[in-house]
Amino acid sequence: MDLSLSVFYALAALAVFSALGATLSAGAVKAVLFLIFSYVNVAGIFILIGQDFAAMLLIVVYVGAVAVLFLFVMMTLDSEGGRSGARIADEAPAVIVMSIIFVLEMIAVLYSREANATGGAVFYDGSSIRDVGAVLYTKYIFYFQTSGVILLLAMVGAIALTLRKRPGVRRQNPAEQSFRTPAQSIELVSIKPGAPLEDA
Amino acid sequence: MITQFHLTVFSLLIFTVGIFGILYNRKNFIVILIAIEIILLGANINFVAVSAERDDPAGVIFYLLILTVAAAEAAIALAILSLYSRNARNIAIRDAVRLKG
Repeated sequence: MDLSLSVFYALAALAVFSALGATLSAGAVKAVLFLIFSYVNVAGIFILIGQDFAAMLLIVVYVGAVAVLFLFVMMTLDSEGGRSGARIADEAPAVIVMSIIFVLEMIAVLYSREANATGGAVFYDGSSIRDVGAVLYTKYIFYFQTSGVILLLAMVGAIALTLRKRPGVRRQNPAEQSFRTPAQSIELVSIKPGAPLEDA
Repeated sequence: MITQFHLTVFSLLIFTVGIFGILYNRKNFIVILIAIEIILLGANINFVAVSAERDDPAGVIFYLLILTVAAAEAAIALAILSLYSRNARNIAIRDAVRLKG
């Protein structure tokens, strides 16, 4: 067993167990911290197989944006959420058994397929970020633009969902201000000397 | 040496942990959203691993797209969650029975 495989096993075990910790932990904040740890380990595995760009993207996008978004939202919520009695599903033992059966079954399928395949070492030769950039802006430009539109939609959707208009808040209405004319705003009144002012 | 078999089994384990998390944990929406992120991570590991094996950057492009969709989904879902908790005062899934059907 060489060094890269030992490091892979260590990182993979940490990633799987911290992902499991994220789903089993008592508090939602702990779950997000476990999730971040899992992401960091998976990024380590990506570096191990030569995919540096994917690893950095994982750290920047998931850890830097998504996990922080989760923490921000939980800051504003009652993150412990509801009664403690409703914590796990009633069918939890069946779920555990089903998951174990699923994993064993899929490993059996993969192993039988792997037996007659040539298993070479997985390592990305060359600069991953340069190769990705070379095709991202040429061959896959449509997908790249579409992902930009998806992000715009998500942004607009999230703002539109959470935007709240409170009654009784005085705000400027720039359109109304711009379209005012002197005739609507100013009233010329001639006041006789000595006479009291009257409301119009 | 790390073979494709190792990476596929690893992504399978991460994926199964995500499915397990959705089915097992009924506590609140947030843990289920985290489990969905774990599922997408499992799919991403597969794409990146195949990309590394074939020396083809297309897998990383798909990884980029899944990452985008995952981020968009997390933002929308957390917005809905925030809206829901404002109206319902808690985020327990078991109490989310307002929409009968």
